[in-house]
Amino acid sequence: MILIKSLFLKNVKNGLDFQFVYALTSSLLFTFLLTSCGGGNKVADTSSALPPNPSDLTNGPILTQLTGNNVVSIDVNGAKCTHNVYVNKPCVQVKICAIGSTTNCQIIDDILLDTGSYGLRVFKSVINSTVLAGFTQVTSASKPVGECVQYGDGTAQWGPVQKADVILGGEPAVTVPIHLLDPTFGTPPTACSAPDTTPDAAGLNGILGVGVHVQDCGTTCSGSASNGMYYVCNAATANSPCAGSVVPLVDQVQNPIALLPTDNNGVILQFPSMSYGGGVSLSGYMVLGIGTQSNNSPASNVVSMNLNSSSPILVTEFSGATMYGIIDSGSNLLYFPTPTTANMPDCGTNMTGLYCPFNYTSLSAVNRATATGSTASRSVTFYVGNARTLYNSGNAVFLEMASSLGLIGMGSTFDWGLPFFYGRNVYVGFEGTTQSTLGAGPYWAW
Amino acid sequence: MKSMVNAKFSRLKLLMRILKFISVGPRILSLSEKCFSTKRTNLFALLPLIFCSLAFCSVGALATLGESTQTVEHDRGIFSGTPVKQNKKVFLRKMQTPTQFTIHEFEVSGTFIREYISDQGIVFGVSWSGLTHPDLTILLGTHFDKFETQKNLQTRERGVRYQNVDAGDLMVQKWGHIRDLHGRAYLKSLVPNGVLVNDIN
Repeated sequence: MILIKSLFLKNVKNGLDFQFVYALTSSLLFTFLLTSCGGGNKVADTSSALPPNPSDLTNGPILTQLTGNNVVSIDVNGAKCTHNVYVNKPCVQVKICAIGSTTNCQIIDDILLDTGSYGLRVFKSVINSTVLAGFTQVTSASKPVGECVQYGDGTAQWGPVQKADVILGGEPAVTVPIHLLDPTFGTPPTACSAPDTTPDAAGLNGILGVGVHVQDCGTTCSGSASNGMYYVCNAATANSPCAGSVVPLVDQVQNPIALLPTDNNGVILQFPSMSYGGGVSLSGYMVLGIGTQSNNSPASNVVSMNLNSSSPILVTEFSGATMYGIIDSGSNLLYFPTPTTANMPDCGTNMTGLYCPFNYTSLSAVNRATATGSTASRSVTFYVGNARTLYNSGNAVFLEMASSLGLIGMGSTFDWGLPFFYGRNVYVGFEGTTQSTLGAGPYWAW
Repeated sequence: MKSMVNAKFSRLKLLMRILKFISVGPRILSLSEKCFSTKRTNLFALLPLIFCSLAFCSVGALATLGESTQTVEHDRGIFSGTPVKQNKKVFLRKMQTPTQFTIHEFEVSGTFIREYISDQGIVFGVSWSGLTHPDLTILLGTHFDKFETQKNLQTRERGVRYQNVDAGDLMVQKWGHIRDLHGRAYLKSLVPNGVLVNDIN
């Protein structure tokens, strides 16, 4: 729980930047409107003490138990999360094996399930040496290939790219390039000069990226050596020199689900609803494949937002502005710029950047497809609660906790983090797939 | 503030002329380190002393952020970037005194880097979007250490996709996801009146 607190201790020193002044001015103006216009103010009072669940959250508090070889269980801060619990952390288990073996295997828990990245990354230090010995190093001109991945929070991960057998649920093993996180591999580039060194430092054993893309880089890395992600090193030993490298798509770190013989066109994340006020943990499912088995056929009311093939970004209309929308189970809250359509004060002391409305406050946004010719859209209604009150409850799973990204506006992005998934079935359609009734991937659907 | 900027700029112009004369290469960024080297006794060792006497070393000249337009082309060279937009004029809103700035943009293997230049010819902000966060030792130049120091003081937050590093006059912000990373850095004192943070985007 100390770490949860650290989440809220962010940006205490944020100071007065321009955006802050802007936001402050907006809220002062809002207050002025409220106080000067009496009952006839133009701003709708959208707050209430105890909100109903939004009508588009159709999953109840308990999901029907799913069975099948294509079902993977997810715990939000439950038994599968073993490191550093923080608010809304979704964890799965992954079985990794020596290539070709069904017995030289290891089940790794505390793998973050992340629709905002692509492929499997695991700390090398948590894998048994006998299993590791059965992996194959990806090479370029007979030299070992390594990778540097960077994240939005400025952190980075570094280590060799190796092929391993990966087993998800009851599906057959697939041999896939994975990223072994290992700060002692070769000489990391500047961008990875301070990579995550241990599971404790990162707060997880690994990450399973199941977003709409297949590879974690794509054609830029198969076409240009100065891509900033893939490197070839003279040797795997520490301090061995490394240089930027072209890596063909098949050798890039990629989503193992896309390589399955069937059930390979996407995933469905299914979570029960979470009651307001939060809970200690929550369990859901990731179902592999879309429309490939009886347990993954899209319901008739599911709307697919098909995407421009080069980007996972939706168009999100919120608070009178048009912004980028991203659906990301690895983001732990709803992150959006401070709305002008409702009173959404910052929490202030020790919790700057989080929203602390006085009452539960209803907001809504519209998400739109970006694929050429597609006009699909889906509005989303959600409530924001007081983050300080929620935090003080001691719970760690919240539907209604939201943040302004520390007042930076994040370049006008609406990040639909894990709370968006609660009470919904969210379909993630992989790029290059066409066999689903939801249309050609990439798409997000719910 | 304006006079400070102009003073800085005129010192810069002078320095750039001297530098052109002695034709420094791509190691231009290391010059401020050389300012403190006393072992060399040739002309090159004396020139930095002259620079230091102009109070240049104290502000760590010859970086990018906070420096002159010429450094944009220098940065592009270091990154081996391809020009995308050059001298794109941006006029801001209806104001009593119209504000404008100029954007230079170049691409480096899937990452777009933009440098924002004020009317005074000073880079007041940089931003990027694409495959990677670019090497900030180049984009921040001599301000990089301030970023690094402040960043290391901050407690790491988990489950978030952004980073705010508020290092006094310098603000560095990163956000985004794999294959779609974003960020910006700016010097608060140099951002022209009327320019909002989200204009550096």
